[in-house]
Amino acid sequence: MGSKKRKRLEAAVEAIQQRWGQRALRRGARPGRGARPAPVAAIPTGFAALDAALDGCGGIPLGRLSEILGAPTSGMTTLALKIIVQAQRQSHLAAYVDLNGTFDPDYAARCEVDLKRLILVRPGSGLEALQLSHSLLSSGSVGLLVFDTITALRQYPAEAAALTASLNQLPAGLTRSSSAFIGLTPLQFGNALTTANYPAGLALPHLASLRLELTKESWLYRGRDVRGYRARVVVLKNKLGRAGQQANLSIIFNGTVRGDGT
Amino acid sequence: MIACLWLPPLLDTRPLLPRLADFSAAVEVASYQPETCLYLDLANLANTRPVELLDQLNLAVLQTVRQPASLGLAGGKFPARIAAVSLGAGRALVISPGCEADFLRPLPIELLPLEEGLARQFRLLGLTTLGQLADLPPGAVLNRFGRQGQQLQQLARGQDERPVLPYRPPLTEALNRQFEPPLSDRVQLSEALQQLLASVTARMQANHYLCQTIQLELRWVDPPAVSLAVTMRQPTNRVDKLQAVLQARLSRTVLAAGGVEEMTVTLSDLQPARGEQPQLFGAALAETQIRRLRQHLPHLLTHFGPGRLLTVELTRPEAYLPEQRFRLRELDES
Repeated sequence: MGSKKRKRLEAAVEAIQQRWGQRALRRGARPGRGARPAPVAAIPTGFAALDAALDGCGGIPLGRLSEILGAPTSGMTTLALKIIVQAQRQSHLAAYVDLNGTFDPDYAARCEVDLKRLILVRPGSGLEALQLSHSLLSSGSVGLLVFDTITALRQYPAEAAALTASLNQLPAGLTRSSSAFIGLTPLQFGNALTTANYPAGLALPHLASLRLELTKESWLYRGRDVRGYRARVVVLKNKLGRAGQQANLSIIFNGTVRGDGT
Repeated sequence: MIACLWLPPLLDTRPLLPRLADFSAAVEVASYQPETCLYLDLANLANTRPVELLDQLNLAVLQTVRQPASLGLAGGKFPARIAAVSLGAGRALVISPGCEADFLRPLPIELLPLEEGLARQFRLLGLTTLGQLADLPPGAVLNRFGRQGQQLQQLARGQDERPVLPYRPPLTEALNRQFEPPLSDRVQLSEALQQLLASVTARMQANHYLCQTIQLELRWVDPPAVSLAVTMRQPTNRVDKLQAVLQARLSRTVLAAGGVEEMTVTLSDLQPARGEQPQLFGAALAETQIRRLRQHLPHLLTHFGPGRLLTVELTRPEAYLPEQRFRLRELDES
């Protein structure tokens, strides 16, 4: 940087700090030569192909928000339940926020979820859902919380500002407790870029460190009988590594639910 | 092959069970009130002629309970039950393997375990017989009616893979002690209860069982006996927990003037104690989170009220409809 430019920069920094205080503007620390970013702890998804596609973390990162999007019935709930299974295998307690009241215990059991170590949260409103989520995560009571669904928060338009404020508190709580948050967002309007799927002002796409989009591609048949379906997962956003990776999942219904990355 | 015995209402099926055990180790008592329905898994008797088998079964039932039964023999529980139900008392029907669908085809669809909503949908769509449901494309049934519809269609086709769940009589351990003269002193009664419970719990522990229900019966000189039963939240074989529960109940019991003649302690709903694989590293994490949850739970309950935090319990694994297998319970500090 040239000396004139540097002087102008320093003058601007001093003026800002004078007006807004010393903490308004600070220099970031420089990493040492050859330093590598610390590895991020993560919960594997249970699908080897998807874990390989999640560059930089190898799963759902702990201490951060993640989001799974997709058209309804694309497999978001199945993927979330399989991630809960992996979290439970790592000895975490898991919580499932069931805002719509659609949680199916039988399906969860067939996905091999340990129901004895799952807390089912049935909030009375959208704000209560986020507040309960924040309480459970920041206290370190659970290792993973799945929020079903973010789109359901749209039915509380009067609470939009409070919902935004509540969601903005989540990242700090997650960092302190090293827990993971997964928001499920069924795309009822447009695509993953459409903001109409979220309550007004809710900045989950911005706050999330990881965003995965599911698309159901085809049914899997055995003769005339449907035995499962194939879904494609695209990493839309990954703050910890490269985005744009893809993975294919085959979800088979065979009494139990198995996922087989191909 | 599975046989279904359909009997008029019986007060007690227990006399019949040892007799039926001669035919099969897997005898299931199903609940279809008021009639009595029993299933037998006869796979081990595949070489016996079905007609002879049914004659022997009918004879066994007549000799034991003095009432004739309707008998159905088929490849699954559902077709066997329908075969038995469709007959009068004392008659039998054998459905050859592979012919279940043809047998069920003309029968009304109300024979399926239908919920009201689904029954109404079937009526509106003009589905009145099992054959009509069986003939629908499976993918379309799955899409339209979901997993429940798919299971019902399999039943309509005579495909019932449910195994016969063997009846296991409830295990109990009991011990009693008589007092001569009758005891009316609370301290002496408490000591007697302590010794009795220690003995019966030692027997249970020696057999590696846990108990869910504990019962204390006190027989007075006059009036009749008093029975105190407690169901534990978790099966246990810890003497201190059982002692605390029973001693508390005894202290709240009003003693009759004449004194206690006999005291009986019964441990029931026994189940095998399962060994648990200890986790080397994960246990600490789970314990930490559970401890934090316990500390935080009163605050959550106060702030958000009851009914927000729940757990799911598997209460009826044998129920046919998935939604009947589970129950939601409020999360508490245990």
